[in-house]
Amino acid sequence: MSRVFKFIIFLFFPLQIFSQTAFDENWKNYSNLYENLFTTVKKKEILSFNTYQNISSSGLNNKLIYPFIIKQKLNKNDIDKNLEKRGLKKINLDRELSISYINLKKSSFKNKSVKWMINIGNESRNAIKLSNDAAKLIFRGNTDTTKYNLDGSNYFNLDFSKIGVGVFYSNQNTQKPYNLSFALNVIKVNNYSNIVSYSNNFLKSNEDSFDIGLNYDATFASSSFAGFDGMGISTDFSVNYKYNKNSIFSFKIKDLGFADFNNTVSFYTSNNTYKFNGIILPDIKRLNDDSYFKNQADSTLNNFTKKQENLDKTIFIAPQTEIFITSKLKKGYYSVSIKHNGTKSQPDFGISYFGFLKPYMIGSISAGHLNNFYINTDAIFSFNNKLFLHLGIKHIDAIIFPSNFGGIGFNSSLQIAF
Amino acid sequence: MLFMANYINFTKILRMSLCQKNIVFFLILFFLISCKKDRETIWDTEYTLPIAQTQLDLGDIIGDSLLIKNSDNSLNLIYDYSLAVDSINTYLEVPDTLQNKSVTLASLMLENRTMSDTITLGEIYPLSKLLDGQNMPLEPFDVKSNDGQDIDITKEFFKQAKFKEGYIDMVLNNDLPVEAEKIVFVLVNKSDKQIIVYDSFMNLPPGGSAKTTKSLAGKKVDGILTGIVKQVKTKESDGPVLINSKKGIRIDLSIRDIQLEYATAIFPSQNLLTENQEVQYNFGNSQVTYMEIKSGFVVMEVFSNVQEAIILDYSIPNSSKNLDPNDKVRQIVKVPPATKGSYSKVVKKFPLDGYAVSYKGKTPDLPPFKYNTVYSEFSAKIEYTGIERTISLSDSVFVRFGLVDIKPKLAIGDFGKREFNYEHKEKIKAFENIKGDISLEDIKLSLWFKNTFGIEADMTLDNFTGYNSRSGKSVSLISPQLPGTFTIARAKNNPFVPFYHIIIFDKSTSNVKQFFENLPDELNSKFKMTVRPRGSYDYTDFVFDTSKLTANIRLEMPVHFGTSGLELSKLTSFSLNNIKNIDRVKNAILKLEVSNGFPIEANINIDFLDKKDALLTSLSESTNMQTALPANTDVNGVVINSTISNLIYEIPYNKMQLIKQAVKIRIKSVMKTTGAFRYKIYDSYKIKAKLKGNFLYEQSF
Repeated sequence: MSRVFKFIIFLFFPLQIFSQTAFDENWKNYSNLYENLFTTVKKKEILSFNTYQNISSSGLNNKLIYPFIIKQKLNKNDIDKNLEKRGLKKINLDRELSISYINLKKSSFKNKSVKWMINIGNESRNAIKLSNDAAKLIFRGNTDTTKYNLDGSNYFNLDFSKIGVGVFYSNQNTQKPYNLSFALNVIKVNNYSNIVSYSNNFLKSNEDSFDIGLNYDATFASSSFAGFDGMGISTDFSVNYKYNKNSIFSFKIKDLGFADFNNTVSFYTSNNTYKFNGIILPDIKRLNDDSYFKNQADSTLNNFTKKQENLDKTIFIAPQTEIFITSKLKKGYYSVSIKHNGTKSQPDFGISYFGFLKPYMIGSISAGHLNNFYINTDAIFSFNNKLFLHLGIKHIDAIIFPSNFGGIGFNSSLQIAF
Repeated sequence: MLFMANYINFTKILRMSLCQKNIVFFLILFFLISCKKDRETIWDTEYTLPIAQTQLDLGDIIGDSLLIKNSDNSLNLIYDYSLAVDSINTYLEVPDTLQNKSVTLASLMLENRTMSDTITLGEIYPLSKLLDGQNMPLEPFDVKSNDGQDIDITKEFFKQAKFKEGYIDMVLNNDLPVEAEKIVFVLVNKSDKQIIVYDSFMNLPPGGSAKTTKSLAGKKVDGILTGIVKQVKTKESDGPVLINSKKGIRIDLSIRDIQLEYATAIFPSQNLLTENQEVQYNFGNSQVTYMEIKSGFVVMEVFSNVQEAIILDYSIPNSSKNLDPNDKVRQIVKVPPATKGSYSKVVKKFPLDGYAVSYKGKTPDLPPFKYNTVYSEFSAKIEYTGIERTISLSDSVFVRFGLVDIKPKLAIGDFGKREFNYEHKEKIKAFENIKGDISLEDIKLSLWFKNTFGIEADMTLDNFTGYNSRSGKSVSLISPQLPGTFTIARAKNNPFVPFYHIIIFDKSTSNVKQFFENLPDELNSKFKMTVRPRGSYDYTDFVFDTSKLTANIRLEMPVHFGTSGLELSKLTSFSLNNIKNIDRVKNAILKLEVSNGFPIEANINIDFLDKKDALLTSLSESTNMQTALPANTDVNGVVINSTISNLIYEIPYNKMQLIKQAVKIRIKSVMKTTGAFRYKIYDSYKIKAKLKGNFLYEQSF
């Protein structure tokens, strides 16, 4: 049985043991969890400050990732060990900062069950895929082998800010209570990059020459702080439905939208192979001619960068989507989920368990697969049912076994209910 | 309303919570910022790549313009250098010459003029008008009067004039039918009543006349005069006579021999000033008889307070353009009339480009013959305009005229005997970056003179010495022709043919081979020149603006040599800082793959220097010199195949840091031929080189 699996079991069982049985009553201490259908919505105003940062990787372990975070020198052994495995190297980097407010006390609408909310935030999503050979080129150089296969390498980046208003509707006067929320956001995309490689990307090199083939498309767009470029709209939608006494079905979709760039998009493409044998010097006088060398270098690069600038483009933003089912057991709650975070990565499959360790403390542990297996842990603290602190650590597996796993992350949330 | 209330609550809460939670917020922010990067994640990578390649023949190395291919495809090196010994500036500079003339009007004239007027019987004896047309005897009468009659002479004579000299003739005609016993007549200016004429005429029969002449000298005469018949005394008529009151005393006036002080009148054409002169130029020792002008100007500046238009006419009669004698230098300038109390100014500049001028004075074909002398004619005149003007003898004209900025294209004459001594140091760039020893198969030095002056010169060559500043060694050229004197004849003109004189030094007649095997980077020459040693052949020497006497050196050498160590070096600027991210290269190994098609071995090294030319480091150490082996040759020394050599230059970290500081490099190549034998170099010989590199590069993020 692998170490990881043993570790998961090691974490799950104690958590179950420490969870309290009489947990329904404890929900009254968590008026911030207004979407939770295991309890009723409290008439509160809730202000939240949220942060989220996560790196998940496949094919690269934390021995390689940590130096990028704490700005250290990479160790050659760590590089070698990471490059031993031949598969694609995948990294997802996600970050989110937001402030939200919901007024559950009063309603501004005819239907008093409809409450309003507002949200401001900034998100960044990055997905990198590198072939093992591409990673070798970056981390070792080109002396490893004669041919490097670069197919399958991609890069995606989306960074945007948003401000939105929404409504929350809750119906608990029914046997199967449910709640819905809908928000409309104005977004401004700060940066967008999308590099897609197709087939026949390679580098064959030795000291005499190198052959390079590049077949890719790359799109870049960015907007300035002032100005309307990169503006767009997005929507958030969620529904929670308690379909039986002990189970809740939840569906969330976040940031489904688009943004528009006018005249500021750059597009590069190539489908070309080229052989380089060294810059040709027609005579001795050129030795001193910097501009000659620069022109030669530029004309070599021009073979691979057919550039179009000042283009218009509408960027469709893939939403973050989540479906999960939460069930109450004798002790604690289990949840099974599928998530997709709106990049070109795979979906994230996960299971989690959470329970009341204390009346004022919820602990949870979850495991899943996003590029690689992961284990996360979260804790929610309630202080007089007015102040709530949510802390989570991602990729405990990679923190404890950095040579085996890659990933690190944390999330936190501070909520005030009044 | 409810929405607004909620919004206000929200903002209150936000402010409150922010106040309370500031510390937490800033702690988080601080944590995030403290992770911000002045540092980088770094790692070492190794890259191998081709850098540059080249294929060079001898022309690519030293320049095609210096090589000539022979019929057997061997190469000759040719080096030419030209030194201008003499040029036109030594011979001819034409100074500006401007003449100033200031004149008042020497004479002012009007033509002789006449007019007639009649004082009628009716005006003398008004009662006669009643008897007009009747035949009747006339009683004698004696009429005295002071009343006059206006006589207007403005149109026929002038509006006003003051005379220096002149005469007025008056003829009194008796048109009365009776004898005039006495007529007293007075002519005065109407304005100031000055008497012009006062005379008496006695016993004039009917139809008779009498003349009187009065001087006008010193008199001012107006255009409106008054004629007064002060007294008319007549005799009785002989019988009846026809009474005609319109007839009477007829006066004929004429003015002649006029010389005016001033006048307001319509003036006839007349010359005011004439100035024909010869101007001699100072050309130093040169005696010029003829000049074609490349550029220059005639300048005329005129200041005039004459209230009439003046015509200025300047010409150089002994000049022409394009050999057309009718196309002389001539300029006519009109000066407008000055207004009263002011003056007119005209400044004109006329180009003389393309004109030829005789410098032999007014009569170039007649003795005594002159030189450096230009004859010009200048005049100022008034033309008849029909417009009334006021002119006086005190009016004046100031004229400044002459030739300026003259640049000759061709000058002919005698430019004088001159002597020059030359000691000249000439840098030979071809050798200044070469040191060591060389054994030449052959070499020829040609010293040739080209004379485009139409002036003869005697040249004396004292010596030629070659100096090698790197070794400090001098070698003088030894030849039967040194020292020696020879004549450089003058060029011919029309058609133009320059004169050449050539002296050749080769290995059979001199030590020119040893002279150049010293690899002199400085050529010192000493020679004397006497220009026009035997006269100008009757003033027919000539100088063009482009004339030069040049001494030229030509070196011809078959590229056929041997050496036991000949170092070529080239100093050039250098900076690795132009290469992006060069600071990330920690160390490198450079491999130079050389395919050598020359029968010459070469050690190649590079010195890296700082801005003071101090040595920082070298690409390879003296104990580890990298050598490109010579090509393989047959028994005749002809290359049969190239030799491939791999020159490896290791650049460890410390050396790389020094190289990054360099601002100059000296590329050195030490060449040797096997056994120091001489090898002939052919056009087909080439050297191919390929530079490759292996770099340890520090990546960062």
